[in-house]
Formats: sequence, structure tokens, C-alpha cells
Amino acid sequence: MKKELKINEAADFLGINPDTLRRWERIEKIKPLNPGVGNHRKYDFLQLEDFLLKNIDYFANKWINDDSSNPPNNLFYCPDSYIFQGRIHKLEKELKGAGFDINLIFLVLAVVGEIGNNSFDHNIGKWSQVVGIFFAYDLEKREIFLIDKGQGIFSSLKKVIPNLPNDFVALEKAFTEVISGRSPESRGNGLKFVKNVVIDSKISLYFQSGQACLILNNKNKEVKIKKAKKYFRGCLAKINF
Amino acid sequence: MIIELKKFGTILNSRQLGREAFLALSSDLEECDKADKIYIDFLGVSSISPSWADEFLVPIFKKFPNKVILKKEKNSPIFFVTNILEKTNNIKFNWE
Repeated sequence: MKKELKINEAADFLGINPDTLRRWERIEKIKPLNPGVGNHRKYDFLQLEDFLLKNIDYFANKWINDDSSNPPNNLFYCPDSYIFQGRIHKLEKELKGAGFDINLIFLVLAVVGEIGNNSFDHNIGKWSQVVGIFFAYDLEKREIFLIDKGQGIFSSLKKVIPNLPNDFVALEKAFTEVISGRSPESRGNGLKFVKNVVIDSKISLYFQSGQACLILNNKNKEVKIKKAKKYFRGCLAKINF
Repeated sequence: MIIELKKFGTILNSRQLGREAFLALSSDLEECDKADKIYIDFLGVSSISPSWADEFLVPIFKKFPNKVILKKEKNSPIFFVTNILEKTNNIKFNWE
């Protein structure tokens, strides 16, 4: 990638409209290298990368609400589980470098690994829009996003529990019922583990699939399924720690 | 006999990697068979998820239920992982 980008290139890189970039310039959210020179503005590529990494909540929401089949920015995009694994190693290194407690690191990585790998395991050949996941973190805000546009918990669980009625019951079962020998799949208990970790640690979780969502942390230990503000077909996890 | 999990990686976190690790161990199963005890050492591992452990720890334990002993790291949160495995597989791990 070039070191300096024109306004259209910068907007493409961020996945936004050039007008949004101009508006952000006016409110000093992001500055070009040479402000106020019409379409000849130049943007520093590293500054744009930094801007992405410091605004993961904005770009997560933007991708969630994007109905196209565009993948997220490459900085956040894990098209397969190998790339996801590599990014988890990067997260491990950064968490250790930032001096986080090793037990907290153990649990954060296990929760992230379980949720992220669930997305890959449960959507092989079944991705509805984009293959792969959005994975982003901000260690200053202690925030991690994992988002997939796959088939969602309800469709996934319905294959092994055919009489499952809706998103709400599906999400509750996923987080509460231990399913032994889940035929024909040998998986399905990762979210119970996630719940057990979250309610007994400093980790907080918002999880949504379809219309259903929940919040779990050491003050909200019960699985209480609520109606999400906006429908999202796949799975969305926001982790704070 | 000691199986050092760090030799399989520092982050052990997917079913696929767990299966691959177990396959890699297959060539040592004869040695496991001869050993009095098989110690599983977690030292040097940053994180393990139940998916990985379900594909690696559980099959070893089921094959050698009286020999496999988990070496506990002081204050390690590994029990979050073993608890869910014990529930879902109806087993009880042996600890050192």
C-alpha cells in the first residue's frame, strides 16, 4: 500500500464515503496531510490504520449494518481459521506486552478462541454473506469484537434440535444446556464454557444472534435472553475485560 | 512419561488443532501403553480451550483412564476447561 493516499483511496480503505472523510476533517476527527485543498488532499496510510484500530466499535457497527457481501477491512478480516489463529497469537503477544495478568490472558484467549472457532466450525459451507469473521481488539479500551455473518445459532442448533422454535430459545440452550455426544457433530458446548468463565472472572460479554441477545458478567450471572435492538442474522460478540 | 503440551503450541484452541495434535501423538501410543503413568504438563501454555482439549485430552484419558494424570499449574484457570469436559463427557480427570 502507498504511504500517501488520495481522498477517494483513503475513503475506500476505510470503507466510507469521501464526504464522510471531509466531514470528519471539519470536526477534526481525522486530518489530511494537507488540509483544505479540495480533492488534492493526501492522507497518511499509517494514520488511517491507526484510526481504524482506535475506532473498532464504529467499524464493527458499520460492517454489521452493511448488507453487501463486502468483507471488512483486512486489518479486521479473518477469512479462515488459520488467519484467525495467527491473529490470536498477535493478541497474546500484545496482551503479554501490555502486562496483563497471565490468568486473565489465559481466559481471554480461551473465550476469544472458542467464540471465533465456533464461527468457523458451525458455518463450513453455510456462510450466508461473507466467508470468515470480523476480529478486532482495542487493548486500551479492553474491548474485543468477534462477528460472523454466518447462519446464526438458531439455524445451526436446529439441525440437531429440530423442534427448536426461535432465536431466543436457541440462544438460551446454547449458553445453558450441556449437550453430550451431539450427533452428528462432536461439538456444541463452547458457549457453556464461555458463560462459566465470564460469570466468574473480570470478563464481560454481550452476545447476539438473530433477534436474541444476552449480557453476562460477574454481576449478571444468569442467562437472561432479551430482544436485540436490531436483528442480526449471524453472531456478534463484544468482550470487555 | 510426560506429555508437554507446549510442544503443540502456546495457544491450543480449536478442534482442528486438537485433532491434529492427537494424530501427532498416535506414533507415541505404544510408549504410552508401556508407561506406568502419563503426566500431562501444561507449563508454558498460554491458553487452552475446551474444543482443543475435547479432541486431545479426552481421547487420551479415555484410552488410558487409570494412567493419565494432569499436572496442575499453581493458580491456573485450567479447571474452567476440565470442569466442562468432565460434565460433557461424564469423566473425572486425575490430578497430581
